[in-house]
Order: sequence, then C-alpha cells, then structure tokens
Amino acid sequence: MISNFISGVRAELRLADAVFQVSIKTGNDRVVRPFGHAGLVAVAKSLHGLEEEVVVYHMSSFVEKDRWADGVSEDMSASPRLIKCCVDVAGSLQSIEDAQRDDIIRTALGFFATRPSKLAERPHSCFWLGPADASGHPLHPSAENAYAFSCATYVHHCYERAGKALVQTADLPFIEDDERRTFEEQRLPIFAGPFRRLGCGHLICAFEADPKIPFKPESGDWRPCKDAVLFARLLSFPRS
Amino acid sequence: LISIASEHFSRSRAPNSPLVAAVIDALQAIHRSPGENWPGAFVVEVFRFLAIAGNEEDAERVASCILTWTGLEQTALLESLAAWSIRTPSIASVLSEVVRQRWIELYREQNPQSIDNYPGVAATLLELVARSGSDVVPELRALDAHSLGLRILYQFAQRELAFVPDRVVADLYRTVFQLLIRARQIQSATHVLGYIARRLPDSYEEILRTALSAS
Repeated sequence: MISNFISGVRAELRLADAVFQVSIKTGNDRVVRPFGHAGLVAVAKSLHGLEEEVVVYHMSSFVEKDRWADGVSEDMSASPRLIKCCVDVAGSLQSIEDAQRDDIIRTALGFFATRPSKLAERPHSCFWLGPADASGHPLHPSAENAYAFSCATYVHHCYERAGKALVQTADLPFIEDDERRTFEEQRLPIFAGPFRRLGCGHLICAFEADPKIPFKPESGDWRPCKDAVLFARLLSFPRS
Repeated sequence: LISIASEHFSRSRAPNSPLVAAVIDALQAIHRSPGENWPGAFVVEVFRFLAIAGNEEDAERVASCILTWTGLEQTALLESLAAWSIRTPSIASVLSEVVRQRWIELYREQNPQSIDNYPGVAATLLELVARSGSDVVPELRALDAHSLGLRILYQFAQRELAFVPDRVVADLYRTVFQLLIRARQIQSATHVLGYIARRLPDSYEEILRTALSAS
C-alpha cells in the first residue's frame, strides 16, 4: 500500500516503512523530481502530511540518519542532520510483521557509521549505481567496511535481509542510455557495463502490488514503473 | 589525535593500549563538552579495532563508556563488544557489571520507542550478559512484563547462542515461537523453527508440540 501525500492525504508512518521524495516544490506547485530519493522510517509517526518532518535512515554518500523536511534551511551540524528533502510518498507492506520491521532496522543500522576513516585513499562516498554490494565497493576494493548502494538498493537490501524482497531484481530492465547520461552528468559513480537498475519507481510499484511481492509486472512491461512515468502519475492525483 | 588513531586503527591490527587509552580519554572529554560534535563514526572505528586487537586492560577502560555513550552508534558499539567477547571470552566478564547495569537502565526506559533499534540493542546486551557466564534466565523472564518483550526475545533468538545452555535455548525458542504464533507473526515463527531445527534437532518435535498446545 502506498500513501501519496501529494494528494493531500495524511497517514501513519510505521517503523521501517519506505519513504520517497518524488517531487520538488516550485512556488505553490510541485514538479517531478528527475530521480527519486528513498529511505526508511527511523521514528514512527502517527500522522504524516506533506512537507512535515520525518526521521529517516537513507543512503546518500554513506548511510545516514537524517531529518527530512521540505522548505527548510539545511543544518548539517544538527544531530540528526536536517536535510531539505520531502516525504511525499510512503510505502508500507500489509503483510509485514513487527519482528521483521525490527530486522529491517537492524540491517539498516548495521551500515551506519561503517564509513571508512577520513584518510585520503579511502572512499569519500560509498554511493553506487550498479549491482548492490553489502560488503565492499567496486571502486575501492581494498577499503574495509565499505559497501555499495544507491538509495533504492539500500532500502531493497534491508527488506530482502528481513525476508521481504520487494522486487524481482533479476527481471528488472537494463539501464537505458538516457538514464546513464543523466547520472554521468551529475558525476554519480556508476557501473560502466549494462546492469539491471533498481529505481524508486520499482519500489513504489512493489508497495502498490503488495502482497504480490517480490514484484514483477504481470504484463512483463516495466515502463509504468519507470521513475519519470510513475512520479508523473503520482503527481497527477487530484489534490485536496 | 583522531587522525593518528584513525590511521593506526585502519592500518594496524597490533594491540596499542596507550593509544586506546589516550583516545578514550579524549572522547570522554568531547562527550562531556556541550556543543562539541560527537565523532560517532570514529568511535565505531575504535570499537571495531578493539574487537580485533583489544585486550583486558582496554576492556576496563571502555567499560564506563557503555553507560554514557548511548547514541545512534550504540548498535555498532555493542556488536563490536560482542565480537570482541567471542575472540577473547574473558572480556565479557570484565564488562559484565556495566553491561548488566546498562541492561537495567534500558529495561526501565520509559519511552523505548525513542531509542534507535531498541530491540536489537537490548538483545545484544543480553548476549553480552550471557557471554559473561551469568545466568540470563532472570532477564529473559523479566521480558514477560515488557511492552517490547517479544521483539527483544526474537532478536535475541536470532543470535548465535552457543554460549547459552541447551535447556535455556529450548525454553527461549519455545517461548518466542508461542508468542509469535499468538501475535500471528507466522513468517517470523517459521523463521524460529529453522533455528530450532539447526540448534536442537532432537528436541524439534517436542518444542513444536508443547508450543502449539500452549498456543
């Protein structure tokens, strides 16, 4: 099940629910964010509405625990850091058990603070667009305590370890040239060869399809789950 | 100091108690200073180094930290201590008293939901209590009355429990299985069956039968 906060709904956020930012505020309106951002709810909320603050574990350069809030001045010296990011969509599995939520959080936290030391030859980032790796980073093969995730593969890994694989990743489409170009323009570290890219859109589709997970479209067509297509659909909901 | 220590901890696997002592003292000073940024990632690095190269003298030095350094990195710190106790079993008895004290504090916490990974942290403390050779049964029984008792027990049941006597493990698995069935957490209950089959294959049927009849 997903909660689309852009449509004006308010809903509960439970521990380890997945949260997403799929849109950007521009004046009084919102536009599709080119690629989404994903994380896991670190502190449950009985009622969340668009632009309100949420505490989230997520993969940026490293796994972090941050407060996501829209329209704020970022404060990186605060603890947890205050990040300009908006929870406009959330995904919650109906079939998940409390014990499994704890397993997700335990896995999520296992990566916290495992950033290697600040020595120059160590990676400045463990972010990685490519096959996920919980025990090393392909660009830094000798670095200890490294890992290689994007925001979406981090969320998926934590769910998978708790026995709740969200997406049939072996069936995902390969990254397309236009996607690769965009990532390269943003200088994000990306696997040079073809790979099956897991995006936020695929995760959201899985939450919509719950309990039929790991998700794979019945038609075999993944295009409706592509970030740009899915985010545009979520933004077109009638708003209250 | 942090950059010297970082370099040593990340490059060397050799014991270095004077450096550990200096680092712990410096961290205690930072911790006592309001407004100082707490170097959480570095603290985890120190503890991971100790898990590989620490000795009993270091254990005495870090013992007091367990009670005061209770932030987000607590999961990683305690799991490093558990790993250290596996490598050097005598460490668990050095840490025993403070671990038990921290357990009591955590057990009495009025708002457990406010602590990151409360069930996981509590389970690691239970693991450390058990590794010290202490009887962990009173702590397990006390969880009957705890609002997050089942979640803590489930996290504890997933540990490698070679250091806990078979009869205690059998009771633990039986209780967790029963509680999960009652709470209709069937997937997690099935997960526990896997642990029973691996750890206590001869008791599998008996545990299953008694747990189901009581449920």
